[in-house]
Amino acid sequence: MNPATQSFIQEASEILEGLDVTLLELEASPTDSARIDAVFRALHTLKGSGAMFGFTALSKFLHHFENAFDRIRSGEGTVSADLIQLSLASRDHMERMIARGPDPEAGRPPDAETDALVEKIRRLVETMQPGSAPASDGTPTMRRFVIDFRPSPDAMRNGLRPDLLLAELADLGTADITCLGHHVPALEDLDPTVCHLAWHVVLVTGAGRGEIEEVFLFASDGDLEITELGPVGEPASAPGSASEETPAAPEAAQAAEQVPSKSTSVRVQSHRLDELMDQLGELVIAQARLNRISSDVQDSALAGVAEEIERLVTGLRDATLSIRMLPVELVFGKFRRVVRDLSGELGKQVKLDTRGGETEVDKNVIDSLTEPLVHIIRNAIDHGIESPQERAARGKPEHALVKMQARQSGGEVLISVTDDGAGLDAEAIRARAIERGLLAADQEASDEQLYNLIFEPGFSTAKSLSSVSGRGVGMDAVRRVIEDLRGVVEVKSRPGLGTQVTLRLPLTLAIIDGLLVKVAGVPFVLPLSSVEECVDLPADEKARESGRALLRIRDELVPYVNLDTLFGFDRLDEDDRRIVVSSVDGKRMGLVVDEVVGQHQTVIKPLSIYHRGIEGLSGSTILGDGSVAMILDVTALVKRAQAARRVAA
Amino acid sequence: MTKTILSVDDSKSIRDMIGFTLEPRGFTVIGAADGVEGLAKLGSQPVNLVVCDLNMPNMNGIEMVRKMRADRRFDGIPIVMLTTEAQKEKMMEAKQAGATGWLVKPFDEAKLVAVVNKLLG
Amino acid sequence: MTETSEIEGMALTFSLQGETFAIPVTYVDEIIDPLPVTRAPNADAFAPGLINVRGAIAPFVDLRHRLGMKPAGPCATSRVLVLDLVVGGESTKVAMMADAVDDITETNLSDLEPVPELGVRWPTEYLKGVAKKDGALIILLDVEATFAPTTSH
Repeated sequence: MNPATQSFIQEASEILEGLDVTLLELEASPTDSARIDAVFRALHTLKGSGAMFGFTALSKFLHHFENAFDRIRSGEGTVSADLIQLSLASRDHMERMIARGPDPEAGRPPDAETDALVEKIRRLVETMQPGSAPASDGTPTMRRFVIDFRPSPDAMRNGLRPDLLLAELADLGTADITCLGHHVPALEDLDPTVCHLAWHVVLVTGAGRGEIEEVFLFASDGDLEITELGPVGEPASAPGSASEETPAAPEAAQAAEQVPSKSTSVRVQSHRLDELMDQLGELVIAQARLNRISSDVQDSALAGVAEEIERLVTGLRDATLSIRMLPVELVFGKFRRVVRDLSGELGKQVKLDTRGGETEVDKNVIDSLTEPLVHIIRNAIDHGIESPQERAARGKPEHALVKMQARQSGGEVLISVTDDGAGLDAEAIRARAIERGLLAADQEASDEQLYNLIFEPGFSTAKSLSSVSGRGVGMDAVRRVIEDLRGVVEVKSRPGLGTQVTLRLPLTLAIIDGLLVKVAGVPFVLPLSSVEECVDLPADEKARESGRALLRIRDELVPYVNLDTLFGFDRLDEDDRRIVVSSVDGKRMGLVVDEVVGQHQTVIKPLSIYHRGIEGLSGSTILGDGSVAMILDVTALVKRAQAARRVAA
Repeated sequence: MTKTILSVDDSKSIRDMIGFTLEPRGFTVIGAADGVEGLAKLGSQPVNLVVCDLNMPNMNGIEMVRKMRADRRFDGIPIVMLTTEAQKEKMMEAKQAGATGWLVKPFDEAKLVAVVNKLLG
Repeated sequence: MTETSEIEGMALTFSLQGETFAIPVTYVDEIIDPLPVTRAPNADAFAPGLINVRGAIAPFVDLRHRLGMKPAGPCATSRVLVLDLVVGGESTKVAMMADAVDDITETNLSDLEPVPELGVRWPTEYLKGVAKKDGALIILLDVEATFAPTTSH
């Protein structure tokens, strides 16, 4: 396939993905002219470029659709539930048409499915009732403007009140207002009736430029510059999505600094990013070697260069990592459709609520997240949420709620899917686990331990396999994918109230800031993001072999573990051992090491199959001296230590 | 405290219209038939906003604005000029002279209220 | 790779505790001098650590342990064999230490004798067969079985 065709296919699939979301939003607010326009434009673009790249059949098919939305646009029709349904079906059909590649020279023979859809659209268009011209009463597209305003010096004497203008501006949307005082003269030269101030405003608004200019109608003799930065990410309030938590102002302020107008973005193939990351990884390792040599050689000129290079590499690393960060919303967006289709199929009424979509995660994580999340959501709707009758009987709201939330916590991103369904049935899980040989019949297990069995291979609690979940992948596949990403899956459930599955994922896959320590002479790296502080191990604690190992750090008692004991290493006769205090889920835990070497930029290399199963390790890395160090998974270590302490206690 | 609006216009019907529109909304409206009378009223009582016609006998609107802005006592009092579509250039002159905003005739109640609110908050 | 070509191909012979073993050369990526090994915590004795092979991190496996020999450190002739294997469906670089690397020899099917049931000191599940060369016994390893990770994890 030639690159042009490939590029079309990529563009087309992006358009179709967007179309999916827009159609669903349109379903919720059928008279929203901005969305009607967006659908029309998407279809129009696809039609045009499809014809150019040899997708003639697609282009012809699209013509009918474009026509339907064109009529609605001009007020000759309205958006009906049928139209949305048909549009979604057609969207899926377009996806298939694109997947089969450009048409052969001789054209494509007509296919029944295309014809059937075209016929349906035709009939729908024929029966269209001229609606009232669509008004923008839905959610308008939010746009971001940067407004720089400096009233004329006389403005205030002449009766202009900048405060009123700014208030008026703020009424249009969310305004982030900065007052600039650098034109204010020294006090002895100050004429208080002359206006010296200027304002910089970042406004996120559904209003257009005209309305903003209207605000400054009487202030046109001052300096006024209004720059439009384009639409804000995802239009707000899709059906069931909550965007209250999206703080527009800080985002806007950031945008103003970076001024990322739409036209300045570049599309890059992801493997090039991966290559860049690989090269950078090598560079970081080489730089560590340089540092090492420089400290051995003790030459000030060399040290200067080494330091400079370290600074540059760090900057380069941060810049490269930030290129790879994408908002989780990219994944969340796909689920509105999934939830809609599934709830329809299963006869359940489900609302999807997404929060924290702006949380950014490494691109590779994003790419791998869709599948596990689809599975978790399917599971929640299929097994978790009760039938409408059951819900009514239990006095639960008719609409079930599935919440997808993302947030950053330290070096991790937490993504959770919460449903308000029946919760996991611990007894059913126990029975199933015993049947599957995952649990001995007489084995004691807490509910929590039982819940976690759903991630074991071959486990499935579905009483009847519906077409929805019975696809041969279980929650074990979810766990596998997440573990491959160096993440962890956790499940919590309360009978009758619902279930929450949480994915804990590392912020980035490639390079982290680490703290290099030594335990029994073996180097280890702790992610710096999970380290709070390092303190000396008091002499009277050194001899302690067992019992309650607690250390008072300021006013808090912090439990600690000896990593050498935990790792099965022999204790070194080290005098000044140190405790690295880490924090996991807000709980502090001390890890005793022999030596804290220092900070280390760590290029994470995955562990081989021989060592992947070892608890508490998340990867390996090469140090400046060429030796290998292992990267510790602090969350797992702390859990392991807590479990060990319980056993010991 | 109620805000006082001075309507300077040679047409009684305009002054009345401004009074009928703004008084029910809690403003005090006083009137003047030309610039001379307008300046006199300004000097005798506190005024929060002036609505001023462009063409008037004795002292026209622009001249009145100039005089007003030359007198520091009246700093910060907004002046709305009444103008017609055809008087765009005059309007810019008034603006340079120190007018704050304008209102294009013919105007309805809503527009008047909007402009007053815009300037007085 | 088919069984026949594997056996008919060239094999690298190396010695461990005085015994000569062979692996098909197609698995051998390179032979390097011994390097420091980083001990992995709580690791299986068969894969006790990790090693840096020119910028790539490879698991270091202990063939002595798997074959039930006594542990021993490197000696003057010791070499590290870096192998390219497919383990558990993943292609993996694996490093192992040999007391010495001897030769590259041609093994072929007709020379290969089944492993005698009795009288062999090493666990037979890891052995593919034995061949005689210049009167000496060469034990051909079953690569897949020999390097399989211990399943206890």
